[in-house]
Amino acid sequence: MLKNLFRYIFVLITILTIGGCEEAEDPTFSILTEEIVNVSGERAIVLGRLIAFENIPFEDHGFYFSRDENFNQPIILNLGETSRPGRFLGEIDGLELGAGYFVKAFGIKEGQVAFGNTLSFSTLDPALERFTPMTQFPGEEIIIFGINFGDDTEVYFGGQKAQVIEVAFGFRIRVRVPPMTGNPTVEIKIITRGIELIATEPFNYATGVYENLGVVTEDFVLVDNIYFQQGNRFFAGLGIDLGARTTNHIWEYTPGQNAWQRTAFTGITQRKAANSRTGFFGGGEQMPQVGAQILNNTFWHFDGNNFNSIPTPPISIVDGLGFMAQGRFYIVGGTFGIGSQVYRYDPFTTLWQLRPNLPYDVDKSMVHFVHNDLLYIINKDKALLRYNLETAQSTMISEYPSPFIENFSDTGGLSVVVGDKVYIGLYDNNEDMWELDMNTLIWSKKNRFTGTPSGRIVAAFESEGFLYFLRIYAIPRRMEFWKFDPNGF
Amino acid sequence: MRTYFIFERIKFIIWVILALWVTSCIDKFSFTSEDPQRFLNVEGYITTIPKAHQIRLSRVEKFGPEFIGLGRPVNLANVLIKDDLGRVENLVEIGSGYYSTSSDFAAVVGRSYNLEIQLLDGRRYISLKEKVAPVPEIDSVTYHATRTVTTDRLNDEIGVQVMAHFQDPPEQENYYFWNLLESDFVLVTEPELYHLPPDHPTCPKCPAPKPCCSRCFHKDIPKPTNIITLTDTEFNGIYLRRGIAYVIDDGLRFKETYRLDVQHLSISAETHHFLKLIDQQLSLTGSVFDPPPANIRGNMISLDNNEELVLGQFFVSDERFLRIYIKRDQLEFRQSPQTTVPDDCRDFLQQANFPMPFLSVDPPSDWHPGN
Repeated sequence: MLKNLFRYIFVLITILTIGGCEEAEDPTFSILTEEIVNVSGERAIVLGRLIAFENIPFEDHGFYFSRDENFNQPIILNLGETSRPGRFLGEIDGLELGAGYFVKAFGIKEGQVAFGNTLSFSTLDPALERFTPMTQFPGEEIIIFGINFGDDTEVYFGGQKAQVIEVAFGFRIRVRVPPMTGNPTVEIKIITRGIELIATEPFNYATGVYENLGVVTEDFVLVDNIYFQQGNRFFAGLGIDLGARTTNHIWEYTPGQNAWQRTAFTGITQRKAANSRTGFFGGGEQMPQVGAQILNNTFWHFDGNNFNSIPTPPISIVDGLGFMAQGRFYIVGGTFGIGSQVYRYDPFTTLWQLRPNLPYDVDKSMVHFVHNDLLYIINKDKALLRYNLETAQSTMISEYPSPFIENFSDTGGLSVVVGDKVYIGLYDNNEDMWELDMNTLIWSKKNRFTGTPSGRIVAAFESEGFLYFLRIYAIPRRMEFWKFDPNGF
Repeated sequence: MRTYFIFERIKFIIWVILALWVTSCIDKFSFTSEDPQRFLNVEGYITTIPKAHQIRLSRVEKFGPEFIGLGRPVNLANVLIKDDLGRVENLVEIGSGYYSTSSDFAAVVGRSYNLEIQLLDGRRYISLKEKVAPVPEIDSVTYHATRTVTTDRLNDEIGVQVMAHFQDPPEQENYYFWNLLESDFVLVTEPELYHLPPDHPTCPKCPAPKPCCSRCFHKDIPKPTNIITLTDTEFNGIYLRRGIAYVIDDGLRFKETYRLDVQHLSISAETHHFLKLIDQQLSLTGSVFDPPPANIRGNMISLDNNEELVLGQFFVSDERFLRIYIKRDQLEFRQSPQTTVPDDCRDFLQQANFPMPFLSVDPPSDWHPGN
């Protein structure tokens, strides 16, 4: 009996032993086309997922793309072999722009292809949005912004093919401006994947021609001077010359003349005086003194024939800004006393009146101009500030585009208003010139100054759309008189 | 005797079979402990309010008692935000690892966005699509003091609960996130109680009342830093009165006025899930009732290596900015006694003998507590 018991136990345990281990089963899995992650013009990124409870060896996996739902002639994106369940990402390039596509994930196991569900998407159409800068020199770069540009993008400037340096992420094209062939204003055209796009705004080649008029006499060299213009008559004078000799003369020039003529001004030396650029001027210092500062508080107005003395303002002003607005002469700031104080002179009442201070200090070394009775100042941080003389509100509206070098090229310069355009540039020791459109506040490059860059502007005028300016140089000591045609090329 | 041998034999055979049985199904499990990799970590979100939105890229470091990593920033990356129309916003690096949109950039309700990153070494990453859902307008915001019993039987926790009142739209699933921003409060101190320091050469600890100043303005990160999210799954379409912020009274914050800034945000279901898990993990206390540790997956994916783990969730929200002035006299009760600071309030941050900015006695330019 015990022998039988032993046999039963032995058989039972053997059966349990054999049956205790699991039999190997063919593992099950699912493939899912999970999500269209991102679609652009010619690129799509798709997410798939392999769902299984264990590692399963696949010879290949990836995605099928096709223009039709039956996946005839599919584009197959192979991601290679895998065995690990989880998500996988496929990125495909070179799709047609603005076209509908179907996509499904696949996996190949033991030669059998298994597919996931089908998703659909549409690639996007390209568009050209803008380019910057809108004015540039030949050979320099501009950047074109838009959406869904293909890698095959070509750019044309008025029919002339340009060198595409980079198409970055489908939205930004760096392109080199080809040489100008005639017209400085051309159309920009882009061809991407056979689709033609044209910019709404034209591109402008930088223009501007400088001409040295060579009509300045040898003893006519100015520093710390004044200048103004009445009609086509230009005036410049006072101050000191480069040899620190006082200059108590004012000179006059009319375009077309061969020389500057000395006027009959009878005042004494005034250097660092404020001037309205229209005929009002005064203040400053009497002599180029070392040590004691002798101020000159006399003010003048040129009425077209004579220099007439006007009342002295309640303050002394040295290196102050002067300008005309609303028919009145303003003097502001300077390097003596309060640098933000504002006084204005009314020619009708012949009275000086204190006005609200500026919210910052200003002096004559800063470029300034008046447009539509608003004062504009470029400070030494390159900020273009607009100051409303009535409300005393100041706003930063733009920034001068060229770099400044502190105490080297952040002072001096010129600003000449011609209608709604303002020409600004030629700071000390600098050759850059810009055109600012006061309606759009867009800065456009003009051709760089062709004379010696290491000079200082001492006077600037405008006549019939041309700019005239006096520029002085220390080595060799001289002053040059230049004409600038902003639209010449 | 024979019976004894038979039993011994049976016992022997049973032991042999048991030994075979136990060992026959064991597979060897090989395990090697790996040092954590320096995963890429992406933090940031954009909203529908035009401003410079920021994305931060960093490398994850090991966190533990031996060494706490520095969380090194990832510099010189190309960071792009793309919408489903193909528009691209190129972010500019404004600080080490911090990338910013232009100052007027804003997401648009209804559009979908991806964050795409290309590192200096060429590796690329992209987020899954995030669609901007509209966030319901808040009708009103109220607040009240709350008292919470703590393990300290003598001291309850006092705080201020901020409630939002709004209608949840019935026609859509809504997920909400209230993000507490850096806020301001009036710091009230007692300079008249100032005493000279103990190491004063002539009169240590002598009373030396200061004539100024007792009222300054201080920046504050509202505490506790809970992640407050909500889904309308269980109360879709009803009018809600919901706690959107809680600020603990530390004895200083509510001595006068506290200005709390909150973003009222819509988020996607995936972001809600992500933030919920983060909040759960942050609130682990080590007790047996804690939820189990979770492997929190964000929505960033490597385009070069499917198996690379990237941390972080890029999300896009419709935003309403909420600003609430919490006034001392509007609270039913406060922390008692309140914290006394016997010094000039401007020197409040200087107490640690570390160079810190002085607090201002002038309010922020947009400080308008009203009546």
